[in-house]
Formats: sequence, C-alpha cells, structure tokens
Amino acid sequence: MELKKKSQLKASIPTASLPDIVFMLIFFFMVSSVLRSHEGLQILMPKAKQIEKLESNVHVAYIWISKEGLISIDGRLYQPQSVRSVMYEKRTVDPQLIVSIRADELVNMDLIGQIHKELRLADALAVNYSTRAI
Amino acid sequence: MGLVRKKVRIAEIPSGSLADIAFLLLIFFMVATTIDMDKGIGIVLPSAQDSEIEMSKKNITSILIDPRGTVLMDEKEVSIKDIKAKVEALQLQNPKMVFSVKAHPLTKYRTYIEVLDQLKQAKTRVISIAE
Repeated sequence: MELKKKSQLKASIPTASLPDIVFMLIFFFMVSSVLRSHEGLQILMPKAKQIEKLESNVHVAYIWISKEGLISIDGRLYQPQSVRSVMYEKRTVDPQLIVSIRADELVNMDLIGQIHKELRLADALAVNYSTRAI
Repeated sequence: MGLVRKKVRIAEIPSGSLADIAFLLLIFFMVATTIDMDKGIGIVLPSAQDSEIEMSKKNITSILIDPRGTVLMDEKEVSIKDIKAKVEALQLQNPKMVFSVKAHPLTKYRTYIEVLDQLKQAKTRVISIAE
C-alpha cells in the first residue's frame, strides 16, 4: 500500500498591497497635520478647569498679550488702538472668525478691556480666552 | 552548431522592504505631529451697535473684582472657589439670572479667568462682561 503524502496547506496573507495601504496612511497624516509653529510672545497662560476646545483650527486669529503689555498678531507688534483695523480685515475675510486671546496671567484687565472694545468695534465678537488645563 | 539562447535580463528593484520604509515614514509623521487643539474659555462679546438693554435689577447679579483679587458678589465678599456654589443656588432660584462681571483696571487677568471659570463650571447661561 502506498503512503500518500499529506498535502500541506499554505496559508499566507497577501502582502503585496501593504505598501499601498501604508502610503495612504502617510498621505493622510501628511495632509492632516499642520506644522504650525506658534509665532507669539513669551507668556504664561492662566489655568482654568471648565475649558472647551476650539471648534476649528482654521477660523482662528490669535492675539498675544505679554505681561509687559505688548500685543502681537501674526508675529507683528501692534498698539491697542490698531487691533481694530487688523481684526476688521480678518473678520471681513472670514466671517466665522474666532479670536483667541493668549494673554499672560499677569496682564492687567485695563488692557484686556481695551482689546474687548477694539474687538467689539471690529465686529469680531466670538472670543476665546486661551488657558491651560489644571 | 547549437544556437545559444540569449539570456533575458530582468532588472527589478527589490520591493520587499518598501513596506518597512513606508512604515518608518508613517511612524515618523505620527510622532512628529502634534494635534494640539486650542483650549480655553469661550465668550461672545456684545456688538458695538447694541444699545443697552433694560433689565430688571432682580435678574442681575453683579460680580466685581478688585485689584487685590477680592470678589464682591452683590456687594458681599466671596472667595473665588465659593462662586460656583453661590451661582448655582442663584440660578435655581431664578433661571433668568444674568451675571455681570466687572473687573477693576488693575485686576490681574488670572483672577478674571478664575472667576469666569467658576461661572462656566456653574453652567451659567448668560455672562455679561461689563466695562
């Protein structure tokens, strides 16, 4: 009687399309990641507990206020009274604009009040005070 | 004379390690990407054209902050961490209550944010920023 060789089943996952899948993932990460270096002032933001995330990263304008009272928007220094025109322009371009105020915790409220007034005149009313989480 | 068959040369780039290279790149991007979402306290400022709205006094609680960080709520001193409980109680009594926050010009921004944080924690509907 002849012995029959048992046929061995070879199970393998096809890996030919693996690079394609991985490349697709890479493209996703490359496109979705925003390499944004913050161009602002040296500040220490105040802490808060009940914080909410900004809905988008796109419709945001940042105002940096240092404890020395310097105001920086897009890497340029401004006087408090010129915030209005800068923000008005930004607001016209993007009606969904949210203004993120990144102020040092030691800034006096009179400066913040002035910024509020300028923003109201520029009709940029949605404001977010940037904070650190506790 | 036998004919010698010409050898067909096949030039191929080895693609076995392509997946490894791609994975390496992928891991680099995943590590280097910081998904840093901005977080903060959101408010909506009143429009400049808005005329003053008349409100009955009993629907307004004024919160005053002085330069030393003392908080007066309806002219009574409260410590910042008690604001939440007081505000919650006031809202239960009167759901229409509006909280008006006013800070002295020399108040530190930190104190102002602490007060706003307490109000937000108490799920306040309307916060008015007085100037």
